[in-house]
Amino acid sequence: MKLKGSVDKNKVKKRLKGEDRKKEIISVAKRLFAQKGFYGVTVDQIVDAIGVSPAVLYRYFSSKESLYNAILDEISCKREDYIAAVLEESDDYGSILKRMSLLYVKSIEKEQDYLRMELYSGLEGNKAIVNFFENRWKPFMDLIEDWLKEEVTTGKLTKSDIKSLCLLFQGMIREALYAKFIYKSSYYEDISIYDLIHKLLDQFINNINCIKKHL
Amino acid sequence: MEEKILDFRGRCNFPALIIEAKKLLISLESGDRICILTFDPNAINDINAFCRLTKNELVKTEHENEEYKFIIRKF
Repeated sequence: MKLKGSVDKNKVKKRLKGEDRKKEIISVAKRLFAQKGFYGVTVDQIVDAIGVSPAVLYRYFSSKESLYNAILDEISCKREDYIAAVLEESDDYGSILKRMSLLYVKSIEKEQDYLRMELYSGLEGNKAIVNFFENRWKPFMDLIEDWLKEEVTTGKLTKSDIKSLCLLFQGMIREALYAKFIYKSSYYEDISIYDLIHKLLDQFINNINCIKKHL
Repeated sequence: MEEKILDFRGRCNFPALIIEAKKLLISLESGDRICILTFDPNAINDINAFCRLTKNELVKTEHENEEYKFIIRKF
């Protein structure tokens, strides 16, 4: 017999501590955003999936945008990790590019939802979100630009040459990640993402060293 | 005590600034300083992280108009 004022235990969401609840919101929202994009998910869908009221979500995040940003902050590779990678032993540009790229790949391997969110951001065209993802590539572009600054100063390479090299780098890393984690291409199943990235980077770095040597 | 200047005004900062700051500090004696000049606001976090990771001391940070100035003392 159900007494007046009692609550059906099956319908009560277990009370979590603040930090645990916040983590749960981020985890569920991340999955939904990766499946349907930023505009494809409503706050109601997120709270329904967790089994809490919207008020609980708004206690931790002021809006859907701030929740989305918190997810991006959590799953993106941290700048300090890149700095640590730069500071490791060998300080030639090729080795640094390799360490930074492998760090980026490792973070994607751990959080593959990030790739799907990046893809959706391009299709949805939210400027702020697109900028966020574009900015994640900026340290790599800046490194390549700095690596070849002498060739640009002396007129051996143009700024367009540098931009095409940056796109070559970005395209090759991103495509390798898509092949392994989005398309799960059978053609590349016998090679690990790290082997693939190592080989691609070796070819890219050799190409730049060749440019520097022969120009 | 020696002080060297690293002028990154008008240049891409990261990661070149970290690479050059590291090289410059290696060439200096303990107690020597480097002065970094930049327009990039991201440098605040980058240089703080750099000093934390390399255990060098960030002695001074100044911000005037769009210019940032950092003084690092070699550990």
